[in-house]
Amino acid sequence: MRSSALLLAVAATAVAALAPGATQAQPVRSISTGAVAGAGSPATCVVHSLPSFVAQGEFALTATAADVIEVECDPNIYGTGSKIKLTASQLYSRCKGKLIWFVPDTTPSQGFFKEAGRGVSVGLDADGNATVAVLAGPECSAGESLVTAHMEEEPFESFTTSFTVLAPVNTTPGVFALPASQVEDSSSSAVATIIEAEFPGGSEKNVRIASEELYQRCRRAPHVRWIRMDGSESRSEGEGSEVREVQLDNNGNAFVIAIGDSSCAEGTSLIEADLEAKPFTAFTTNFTVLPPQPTGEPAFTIEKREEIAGSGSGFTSAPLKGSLGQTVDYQVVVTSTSNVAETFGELSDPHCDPGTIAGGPGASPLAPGQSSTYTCQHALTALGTYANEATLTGTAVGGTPVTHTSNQVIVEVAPEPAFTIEKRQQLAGSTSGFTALKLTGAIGQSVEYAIVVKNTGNEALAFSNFTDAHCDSHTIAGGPGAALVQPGASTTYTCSHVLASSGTYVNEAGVTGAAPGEAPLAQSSNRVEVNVPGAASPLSPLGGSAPANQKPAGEVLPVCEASRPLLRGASGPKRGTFTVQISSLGIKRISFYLDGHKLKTLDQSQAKGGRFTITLDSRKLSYGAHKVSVKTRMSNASCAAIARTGVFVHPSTRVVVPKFTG
Amino acid sequence: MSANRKDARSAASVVPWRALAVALVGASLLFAPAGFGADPAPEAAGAGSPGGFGARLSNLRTLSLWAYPQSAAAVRRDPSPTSPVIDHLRFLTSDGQAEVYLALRSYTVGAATWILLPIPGRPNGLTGWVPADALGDMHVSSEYLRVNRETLRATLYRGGRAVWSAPVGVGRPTLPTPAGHFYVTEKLAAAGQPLYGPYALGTSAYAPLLSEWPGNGIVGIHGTNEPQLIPGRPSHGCIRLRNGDITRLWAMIGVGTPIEIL
Repeated sequence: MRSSALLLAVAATAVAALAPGATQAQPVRSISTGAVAGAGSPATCVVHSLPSFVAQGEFALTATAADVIEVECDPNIYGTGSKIKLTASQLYSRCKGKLIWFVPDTTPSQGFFKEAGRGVSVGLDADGNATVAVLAGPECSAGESLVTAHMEEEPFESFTTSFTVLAPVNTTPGVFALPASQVEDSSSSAVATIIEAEFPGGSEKNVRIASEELYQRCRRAPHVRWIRMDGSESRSEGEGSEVREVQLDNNGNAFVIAIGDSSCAEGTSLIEADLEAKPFTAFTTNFTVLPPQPTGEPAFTIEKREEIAGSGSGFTSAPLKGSLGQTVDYQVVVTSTSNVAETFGELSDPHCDPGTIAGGPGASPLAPGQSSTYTCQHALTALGTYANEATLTGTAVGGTPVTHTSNQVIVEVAPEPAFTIEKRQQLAGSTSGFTALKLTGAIGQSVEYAIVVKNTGNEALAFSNFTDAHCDSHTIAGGPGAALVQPGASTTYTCSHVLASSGTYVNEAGVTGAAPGEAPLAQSSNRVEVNVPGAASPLSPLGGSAPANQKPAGEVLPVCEASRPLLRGASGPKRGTFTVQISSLGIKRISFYLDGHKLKTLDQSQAKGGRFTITLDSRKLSYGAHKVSVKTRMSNASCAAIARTGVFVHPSTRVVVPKFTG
Repeated sequence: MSANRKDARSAASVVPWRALAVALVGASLLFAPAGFGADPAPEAAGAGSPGGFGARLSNLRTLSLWAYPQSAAAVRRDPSPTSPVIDHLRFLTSDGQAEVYLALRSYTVGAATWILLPIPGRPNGLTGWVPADALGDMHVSSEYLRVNRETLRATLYRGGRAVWSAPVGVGRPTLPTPAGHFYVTEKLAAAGQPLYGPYALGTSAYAPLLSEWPGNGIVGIHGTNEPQLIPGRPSHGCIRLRNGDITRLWAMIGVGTPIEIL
């Protein structure tokens, strides 16, 4: 097992199987899922079920199976002798209760202790490892079985793997040794193999299986331990360079497991199998002890952090407070804590907005200790608490995938009622638009006010109690009424005031906003100012020097001046039907024109809500600019007729291939 | 540049060449490296500085006014009916959308009020004056988009508060994204060309070295089919965003929003 500091690790590996009546075992597909420890931290233990070696049943219907289960734990966490319980209940059922566990004694030369049943409790060695052989059958049904390992002391972690019993398969004569497919530990080679011998016509004869080379190569006594399961179904173990009197089953097969400890030197050893009776047939094969290599198990940490986009406050894992419309930037930092390179699957993060996940190592592996950062965003579109975590799966060559979930980060979008109120003004008849700047008017002119109330909070608001001391009676219009104004939306109140005398008109508006069920919030607007000189005065819609628009002091022309309305709605892009309006005040008859062609003439009786209104449909018009104009006959013959024009655009579709540089 | 701009040059061409030269030199004074940049002294009178006439209408940060044109009025170098014409207002962008104009300053002289506008086109940063009645109702924007070519990040501010930010791809060193003050001229749903992603914003900025590009080299802000190149400097001058980012920005930003490219 790897540890964070030292790659101590180790363990024996191997697999074995005995098969009464089987012909030959076959190298098996690899097995097992890896270990899982506490979420969010590297596994403290890993459990392997090594590539199994399955023997056929005597009548090719059921199998005798052997497996070697290896536990590798971090010795910095689990001390020598820490107990772990291995259980294979499914295999126990699959093999009709015939399960025998062979546990190498931790004291050399003590051989094995055997235990029948669903599981066995074993102690970890000084490297944090334990190796157990299990023989099952001979009546095992093919299929996969879960193998679990429970630590019997704090923190009581559990790990799982699986083992598959393969269906019986006919094999050929000879002697075969399962490759040492998973010899690990960075500093030693603890090995195990399963040796199968098949002698045609040798039913019930005895066979000798030996490997003097392997015996010498594993330098520490007892050098090699043998577990024998012969045709008589007697299961025993021994030590030395050979094992004798291994009885062939009815099909001429015999199996033994050979286990060496971590003192085994790498290299190839000859293994012999010969009949101990006539015709004294002999077969040989090789078994190679692989050089020490680290465990190829993935391990990594995953840390999630967040920042409100644009806040500049830096990423943190602490809870944040956000507002509707804001975007949360997430960072997910993955750091490899494995001792081998590992690759990662797709980051899963349910609160990342679609298409925003970026970064990460992609298909490139992360080297041990290396980090990579994923990023994504989430737009805060509703009130509430956004609790979020990311999940990632890492894979190492030869190892089993490990999935970890990050820490949880939280953004809270709390109710924040807020609004702005902005007052602007213009002199009636001016075409330069509303402004908050100081204006200079003349007696008799009318000032039009537009008070824009915008919901800048994150809750819908109702507005009431609109006040404006300088609005003339009955001129207040607009506003949302009883409707709620949604966050980000605005509503406009309008009113007007006739400048009846000289002086300075300083004015502000006020309104009360409240979210349903919450305390109201009252605000006042900015102040706007109109100066009316006592004598002749220039008109300055936007400040600065002004043109002369002189009126005799004290002369009041409320009718003519107040009835110089603007044409509304005939500006900007129009993609469908739209209305064009003009105040009907003082107008007896009005004619509307489109691009010079008369559309309609209306008289005062056809005005609705104090306005003349026509509806146009730009879809019937060509693309480009079009002019709407009106000509009037005034009710008061002494007032000059009004001519107003507005230009709107029928744009092409918005769905285009842009002519941008790309 | 659009056909309208060519028309403008045609109109200017009837002016004696010496007057035209003076007009263009005068116009060139109006664009600094920072284009029509924010005015730090809003009420400063314009003695010796054409851009300083009158009162400031937009601070290009928290309050900006913009309007649709009401006529194809002449854009003049100075706020005077006799000042040289340097362009004309346009109703349509080169993509067929309604053209908008930012209102930078106003100046009232005699009976007329003039508005100072930035003029989308090449070279970047050109400004000129039009009569106030050449523009429709003023619209108010409290938004401001900043694109930082060094940190490769764009940030949208609303009322001075950052409300959106994302990494960007900008022009490669040989085809740089121009620096300066610009604004959003149009919002498009890009179709038929995955290069632009799902949405695109037109700007008043023009790529300095791509005058032969269709549309005359408008710098767009758009999505991409190569998100792995963001952040970076992969474009021909446009500002590329990941498709998720442009989708959010597109929904949040309006035409007339000032843009500052650092």
